[in-house]
Amino acid sequence: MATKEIKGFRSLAVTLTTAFLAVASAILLAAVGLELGVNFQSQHESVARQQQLIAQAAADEVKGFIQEKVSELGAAGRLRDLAAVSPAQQQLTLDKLLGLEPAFRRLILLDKQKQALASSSRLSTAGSGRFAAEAGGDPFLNASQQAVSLGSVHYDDITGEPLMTIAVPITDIFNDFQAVLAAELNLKFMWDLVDKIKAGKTGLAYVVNRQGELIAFGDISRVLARENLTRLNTVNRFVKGALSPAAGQANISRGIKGNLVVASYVPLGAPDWAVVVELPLAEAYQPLIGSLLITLASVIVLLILSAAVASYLSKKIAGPIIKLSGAAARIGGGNWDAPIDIAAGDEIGELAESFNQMTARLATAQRELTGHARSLEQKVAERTAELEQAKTVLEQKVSELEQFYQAAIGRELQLIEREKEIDDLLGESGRPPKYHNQV
Amino acid sequence: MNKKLLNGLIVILAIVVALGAVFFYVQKKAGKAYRVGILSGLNNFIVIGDSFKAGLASLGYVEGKNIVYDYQKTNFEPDKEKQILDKFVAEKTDLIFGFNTEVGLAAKAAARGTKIPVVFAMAIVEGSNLIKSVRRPGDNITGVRYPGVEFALKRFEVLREILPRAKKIWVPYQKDYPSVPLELAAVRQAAAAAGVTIIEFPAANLASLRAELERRSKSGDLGFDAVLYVPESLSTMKEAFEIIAEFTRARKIPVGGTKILTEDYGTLFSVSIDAPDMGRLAAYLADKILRGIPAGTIPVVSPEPYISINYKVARELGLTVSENLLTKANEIIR
Repeated sequence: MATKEIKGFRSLAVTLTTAFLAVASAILLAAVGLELGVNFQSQHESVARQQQLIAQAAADEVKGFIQEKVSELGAAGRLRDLAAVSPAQQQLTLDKLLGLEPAFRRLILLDKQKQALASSSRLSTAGSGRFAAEAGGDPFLNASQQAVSLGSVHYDDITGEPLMTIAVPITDIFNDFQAVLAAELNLKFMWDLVDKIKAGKTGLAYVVNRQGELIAFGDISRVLARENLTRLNTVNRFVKGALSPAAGQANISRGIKGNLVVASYVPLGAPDWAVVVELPLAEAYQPLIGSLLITLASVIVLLILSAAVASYLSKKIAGPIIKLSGAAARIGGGNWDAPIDIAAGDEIGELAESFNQMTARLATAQRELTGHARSLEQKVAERTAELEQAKTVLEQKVSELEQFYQAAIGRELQLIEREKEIDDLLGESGRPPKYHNQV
Repeated sequence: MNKKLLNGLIVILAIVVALGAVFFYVQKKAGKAYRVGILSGLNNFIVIGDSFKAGLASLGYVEGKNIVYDYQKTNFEPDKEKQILDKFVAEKTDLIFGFNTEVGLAAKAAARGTKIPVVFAMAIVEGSNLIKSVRRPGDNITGVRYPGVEFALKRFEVLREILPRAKKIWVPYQKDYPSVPLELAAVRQAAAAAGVTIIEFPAANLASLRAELERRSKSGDLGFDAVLYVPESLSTMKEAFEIIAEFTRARKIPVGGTKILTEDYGTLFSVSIDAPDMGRLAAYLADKILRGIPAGTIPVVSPEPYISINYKVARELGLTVSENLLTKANEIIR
């Protein structure tokens, strides 16, 4: 029968230990993975909810800033019936409004024909014409339809500061449209407000418009650089106009500072901006990370324990088998007399007992076989001796015969020679040979 | 020796050396104290340097612990300024903060060819070649600009608002001051539209200023209704103001544009900046630079105009300042 080739030897104890450990590890890791997955989902939902609340609060604050400016414009128009008072009163109202509200850079009061009734500027009047023209466009149109107008964001050519034109309708006592009061709002006055929005300990907030341009952030240099943030996943979703309620919900992505963050946004509606709130990943998942570290430590301890238990069990199981293996090797080597010392009361113990009985029987059979062999050998030796003796006698007889034979042949040869000599003598005397004819 | 053992020892040694280097670097970085050279080129605006330091302190820089200042002061002394700036460069300071325009330009020149960043304040960037653009200043320099042209125009408008009947306005200025041509061009245009004559006088020095006023006073009439300072260096010198005041005070001719106060006389109004705010803004920029952002990529910041009305002087001159103007003023001196 052909024997199967064994590629390398591996101890049964090692195999068993590995198997035990592998099974224990698989079970442990599966359990931990499941727990972590559930915890992560739970934490993510919690962070998402919290983020959304912070983003909503931030959005309300930013919206409140704009609403406050709109209210100031509206109040100035209503308190003094601005369209009806004298030009001096109109001018004073605008100047006072400018003095009271630092975020207003320019103000202009336009009548129904878009003619400037009064204007006031924090800066020189050099840019007032441009502002008047701008205010007379869409802001006037919207305000003349009794609606508050919130223009798009544009940037100062020199300073790079973001500006927005807002306009409110001025009505008379009968609520009939009389004029438009427009203001150029310097959005840099919103930066401090946005910078102070707290998201956790290290989180931050910023405001972008629908084009993805940064218009308010604690780092004013980035606003002045007119940075476009559409490369950021969260801003990009707002720019693309994702309308589903989940669109603004927290997701893990790169943040404005390049780090991994949990970011969410809330659109303001009017103006068409969004407040983005970011919380660094490490802070957002701090409880989970703590729990993960504890779990990891537990897993390591459990794995060490598993290894120890696996090693003990494998030795417990493999020990008797190894003894059996050793005994088989000894029997293979011809040593029948060493019984296997296994006191286990299990199948291995029974196997060892059977093995001992088998080796005992084999030893007896071996001894009997050896006795028989010895007896046979003796008989063979005796017979051989007899044969040797017979052979010697026979050889002696043969030798004697050979000697006799040699002697007989010699006499014959001598006789032949004499006959030849007789024939020769007869021939010489002219008589015919007597014993041998000549050819 | 066993080859494997040798390789193992080499790897362990390399790891130990690498860890040691990292530890040394971290220790060095943690213990680093930034050295900042401050040069104030104007006695009138020393507060900018103080607010700069206060601003950095609020951003976590503790003097003597993680930041060390070398605070030098001059007052229109170009040679001394150059020496100080050269010293800053030789000592390899981590950042130079200088104000005004002249100091900004000198600091830029001194730091050229080095890696030392420069932050300026109170500097007029129009026509001065101090920066490439407000949005991206370049050349390892950034700062807080002084809106020269804008403020020149606003000063003219405020003067007109207080003195609507003034038809001849005398504008003395430091001769060859780089930002003046642009400022005067803007003022001339506005004056022409208002029917006002601008009488310009480029003063080479204080003596020439005095000589011009003496020449004008010989006829008994100085030949102008008001004096207007545009943003340039002469307007920040108290000595120049005192010379002008000698001739205008008795004649009750108002002087306006920049804020100069004396015990007995001051300018009527000023359109300028809030100096502490300017220092705070500069500190913000310096912090960004010290945290590793190249200065030339940080946009230049613009301050808000700060209007002061010297109501006391207005009353002395018998002038009425309108409620409109007072309500827009940031400061009223009474």
